[in-house]
Amino acid sequence: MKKLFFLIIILAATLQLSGQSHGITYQAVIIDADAQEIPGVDISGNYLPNQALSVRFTIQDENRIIEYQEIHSTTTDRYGMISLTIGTGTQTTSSPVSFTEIDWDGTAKDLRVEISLGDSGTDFRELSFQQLYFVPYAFHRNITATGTMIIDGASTLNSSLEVANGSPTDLSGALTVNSTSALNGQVTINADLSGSDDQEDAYPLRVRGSNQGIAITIDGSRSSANNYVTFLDANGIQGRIEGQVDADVYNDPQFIYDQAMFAGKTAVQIVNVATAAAASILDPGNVIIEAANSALLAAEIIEYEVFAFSDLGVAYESGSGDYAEWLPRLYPEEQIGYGQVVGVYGGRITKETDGAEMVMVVSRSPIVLGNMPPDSAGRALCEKVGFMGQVPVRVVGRVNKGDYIVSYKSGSGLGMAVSPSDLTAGQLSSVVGRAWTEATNPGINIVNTVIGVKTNEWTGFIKSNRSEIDSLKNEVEYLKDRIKKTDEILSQLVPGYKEATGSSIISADEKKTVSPVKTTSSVVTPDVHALAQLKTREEVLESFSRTAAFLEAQGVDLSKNAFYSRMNSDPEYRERVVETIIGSRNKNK
Amino acid sequence: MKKSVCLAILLLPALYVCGQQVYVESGTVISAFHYRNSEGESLSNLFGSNNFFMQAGYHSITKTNRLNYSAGVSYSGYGASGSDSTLGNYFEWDVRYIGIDLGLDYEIIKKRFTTGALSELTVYIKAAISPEYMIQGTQTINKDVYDLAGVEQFRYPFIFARGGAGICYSINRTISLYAEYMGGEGFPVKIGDRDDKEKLRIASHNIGFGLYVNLPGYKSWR
Repeated sequence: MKKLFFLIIILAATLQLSGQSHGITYQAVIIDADAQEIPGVDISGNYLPNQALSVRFTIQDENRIIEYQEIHSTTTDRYGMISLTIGTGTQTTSSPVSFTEIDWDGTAKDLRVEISLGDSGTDFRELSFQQLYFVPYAFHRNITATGTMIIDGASTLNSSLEVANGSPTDLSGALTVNSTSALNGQVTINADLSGSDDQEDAYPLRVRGSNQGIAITIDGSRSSANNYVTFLDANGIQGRIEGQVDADVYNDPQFIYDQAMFAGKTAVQIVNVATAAAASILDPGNVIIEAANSALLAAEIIEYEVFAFSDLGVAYESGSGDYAEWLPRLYPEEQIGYGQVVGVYGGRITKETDGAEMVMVVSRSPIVLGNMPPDSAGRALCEKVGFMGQVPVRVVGRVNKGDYIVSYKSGSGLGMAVSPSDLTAGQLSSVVGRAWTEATNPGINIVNTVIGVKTNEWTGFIKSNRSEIDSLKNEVEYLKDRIKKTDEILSQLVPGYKEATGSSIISADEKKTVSPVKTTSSVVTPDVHALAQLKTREEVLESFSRTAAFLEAQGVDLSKNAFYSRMNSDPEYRERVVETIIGSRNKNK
Repeated sequence: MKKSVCLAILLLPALYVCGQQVYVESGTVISAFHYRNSEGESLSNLFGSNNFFMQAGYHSITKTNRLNYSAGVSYSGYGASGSDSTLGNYFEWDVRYIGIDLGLDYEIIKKRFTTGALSELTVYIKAAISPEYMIQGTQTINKDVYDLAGVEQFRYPFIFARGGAGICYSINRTISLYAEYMGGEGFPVKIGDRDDKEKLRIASHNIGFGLYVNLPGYKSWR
């Protein structure tokens, strides 16, 4: 026992995955290299039982640099065995890091084992020096697996996870992320789902957990070339939500037209200002007027541009062209298809259009669809009825662009084209819209029709009525003026006329402000100025009679008029008035 | 060895002059190993074993009448077994020795019976020395068997010194039967191996039965 030399014959390194025990399990049997002396052949290979000793473990990198070193004091058991855990010993001063900080970076690492017999722990002799071929402890950080790593059990990562070098990550199971996530590359959700559109589970992407939905931020500023959302199907792009910018306004044909018009106005105004300036000696006031006009034009241009470039945001684009709403059928069993003309009765539709509150058309593919039924059963009882935009309409007969599309025949579901000049007042209530395409087929055509916007079917009637109203207003004004003047003349010619009628004579100042009233030649009214031109008694009475008739036609109650009442009731007074008028003419003559 | 050879040479003339019998003996030898290792420690759990021995030689009576001499060759088996509970080892030895047996016996009781034709009963004590050399041996350690030829402690001869007593009965003029016990120890003669600090002695207890055959000229009545 004086000179003992030890051999490690068993080394077992296993992983301790327990969260409370960090280290590499190390078991060894200490063998006495000195043989047991007996007569004859001595017995070698005896283990060393119940021996106090110290074991020093050293983990070195491939350059033999110590990464970790620790010492264990222990005693062999009756079979010469020691069971230790590398990582739980006393770290020596030669160890640069703790066991949990060893960098398992995939490079070669060696384990050196040394033993010192007894309790001194100073005279260490090397027992083994071997390479660690496997990552011994996956619990710790900085582990580099140069090959495939397969973990059959549940794994917990208490820190961040990074998949480098652009390597893909393939998860065959569900992924739950409980915190804020950032996906810096393109994301494709390729879920193999099925179900109807009213089943949430049929949708590959569901956004929950907030009172807000989806926020989309594009790089840079918005543009028509930058789509916030693009909708596609097997046939390609079917719609998109895109940005609007100033450039889009500049490229807008309406804006270009308006700018051209403003340019023309500006040129004309410049000429006007120049002309006024040249003639300022003759008419200095005109210069001021043109300057004011120039200021007004400039303000108009500024206001237009502010308006044109305000409220730019996003636009929804789609091949579809109308806004529609689900409306229930008046008769649930009635078959109604897209493009058919329907009448609306209290919010319900039918192909019967006679007496309908309004006539509309069933949309095929609206860009926006409102009034969504709560479920598919309710949807089966409804149709998508176009409210605004472009809708294909089934029309009988030829169609020219700009024709009004009106209900062809109640119950047919068809429309027909009526040119604007042929549109009657009776057809106004059955106008669906105006055709934007033409059709030459005398049969049934599908005509792109604009609905719900200003189609000007009332314009002609309004213009006509307005003209008549203006004409009547002018006549009334003219008559009022003539009556005033007649009153003036009669007050001058007829004694007691003013007192009898209580009419007020227009003052000289008021006369100056009264504008001459133009009358149309077709209006025949009693001309007060012509009273002085009357030659005979019959002509005077005729004139009064026509005036009275006109006033009565205007709603004037002549019985309450003192003059006419007296003219009718007092023959003497009437004769005296006639004579006075005739006499006045003669006097003037 | 040299001394033994010299002693044998000195005794031969007497044997030659007085040799009157040959003998053959066989029996059991109970042997035990007395061992101390280089540290002077003994094996605590070591036991003896039984073996067979046989020998043959000449036996003669000297002129002193009751003192007899013998010389012969022997073939003896020795063995032992033991174990070490601490280390869990088991070990066993089984060896065969051949030797030259030189003995001197003294008849302390010698009685002649008259009832028979020629009957005589003799009780004697005996001392013998026997150099022996191993001719075959094996050692079993746990389950492994080793040849002991040339192995330390067994590669050099042993000198056995024994003492004992026996009883001999002459059944006729030619043949006598005897029973004998001889006990003693063998000491190694470490020729050329003096650095071996281990010490092994073999204790033996021989119990044998033999017979003497009187040679012609044997003078039975002295």
